[in-house]
Amino acid sequence: MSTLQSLAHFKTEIILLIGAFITLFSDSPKGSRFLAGTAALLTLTLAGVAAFTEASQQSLQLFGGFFTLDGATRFFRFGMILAAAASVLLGMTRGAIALSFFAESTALMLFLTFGLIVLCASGHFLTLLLAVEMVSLLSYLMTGFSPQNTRAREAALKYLLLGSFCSAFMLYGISLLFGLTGSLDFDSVRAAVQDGGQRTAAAASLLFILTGAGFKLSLFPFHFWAPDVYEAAPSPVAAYLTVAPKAAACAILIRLFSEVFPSMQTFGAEVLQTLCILTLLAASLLALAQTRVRRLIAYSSMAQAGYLLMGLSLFSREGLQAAFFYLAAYGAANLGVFAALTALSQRGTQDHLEDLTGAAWRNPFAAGCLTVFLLSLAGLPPLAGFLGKFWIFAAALKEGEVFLVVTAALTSMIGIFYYFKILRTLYFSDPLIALCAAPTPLPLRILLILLASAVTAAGLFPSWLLRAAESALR
Amino acid sequence: MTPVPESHYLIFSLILFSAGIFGALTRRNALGVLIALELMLNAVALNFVIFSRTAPEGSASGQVSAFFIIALAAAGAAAGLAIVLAVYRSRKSIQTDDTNLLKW
Repeated sequence: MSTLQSLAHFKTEIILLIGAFITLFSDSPKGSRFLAGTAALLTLTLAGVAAFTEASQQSLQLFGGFFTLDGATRFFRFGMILAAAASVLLGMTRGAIALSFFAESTALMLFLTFGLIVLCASGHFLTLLLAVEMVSLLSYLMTGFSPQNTRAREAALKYLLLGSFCSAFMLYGISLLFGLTGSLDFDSVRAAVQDGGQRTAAAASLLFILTGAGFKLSLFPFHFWAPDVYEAAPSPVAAYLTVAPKAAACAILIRLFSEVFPSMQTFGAEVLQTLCILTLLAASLLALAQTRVRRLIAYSSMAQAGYLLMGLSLFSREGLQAAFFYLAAYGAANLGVFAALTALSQRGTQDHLEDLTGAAWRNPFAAGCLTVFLLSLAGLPPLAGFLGKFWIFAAALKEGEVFLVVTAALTSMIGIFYYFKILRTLYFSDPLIALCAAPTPLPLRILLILLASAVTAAGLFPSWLLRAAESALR
Repeated sequence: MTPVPESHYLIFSLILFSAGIFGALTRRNALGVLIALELMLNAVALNFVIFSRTAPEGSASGQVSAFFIIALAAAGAAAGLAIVLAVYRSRKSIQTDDTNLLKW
């Protein structure tokens, strides 16, 4: 499709870009979060409406094949917009992000959303590498975007150095693939990989490219940045980074294996499943030793990425559908965990587990929501996480991957243990310091109610989310 | 005079990339690591240019990619230096050994 025709189908992304610029300059002189926050939320609402009401449902190749608008793109685009809206609402809470940086950081979040959507939709390696770099650079900057916070800056430095190292490998892999196939377009590369006899070289470049995706998913050998970033970054940024880039990495993995390397799915499945087992074991064991809440959540989200990867690596319809369902459930629950922790945290504390001692008696509402989210992450019925995990395990058993399922079942038992460690601290201990009941601010309360009801509703009535996941596969 | 074969350039770009990996892994100074990462990106850009000579159809896409890589490297350096500067302002050091607030 030509550029001008494509623009008609590119409304959502254009709205996001324009809104990001407006948000950037809507810093109110009186120093309140209201103006920039409203601009960002309005942008995301408009973009969501534009995405939802889009007329055509068929698969389109926009901008001469650089941007693929298909079911998967639509599913991930809508999810990214929802996650961004949740993070902006979280950022509007006092103390979640510094006031003087609020407008800039919210605008960067909108730009990041744009980059992630383009990444999910890329149909050409040039789009892929540009989108990956856009997402990476914005993530590094947003991590360190906090005044007088040495820990956040240190996390940003580690993120930057490790991230650039991994993405250099990915770029090298893409350049090798270009050398092998003489093209960068997904369709021509697929044709060349299928015909060509140089399978070893193609496999090598695939491994290089997987390094980049593995880094974004924080899989085992590439995970060293994740706990630091999720612990030290401002909480809306951390919440967004645990969810949206992982979703985008899943989308790009699916796209690579279905559109570029369908001939190498067996090899890819072996690699991904090895990474998946290593990630699950490492994340669960390391999470047991944590004494800081956000660091524990970071390792738990690493383990969750392992379950997601398990669904993806089957390359079966059931596996992918279950993974999409699980991704949505994980996203809602993880955003909720960060929101509830923001509501429960006290000024001047450093997120130690002991700081939450007896917090349920201080703020029963936020603690109750946190319980729902943690139980869903642990995979207990009747919440959404349980169904997602169940279907992923069922799909894996159907493909005969018994070892994978046994490992995953074992690590989810360890998972239940460390999630209950948080819950025990919340409920079954007297508060160390008698504090007056801390009221939850209104935007945060709305956000918590929405996320908790989404997690519960998707667990009790899963059909709507399943239909959405199925439409992503079409 | 015979032209230099492509393999020579490829070996050179591989050496450049490996030098970048070595530097990124061994440097203790954050700026040193950033310079090493630039070397790796330059190897990628070089690869694109070499392969666009051998590519059967439209060599343009390889050369265009090389330009994009150069621009990306510049953007990465800008973001990287900003973060290094922020770290220096609060810690008065950019030695990677000194970044020890966050541990596993």
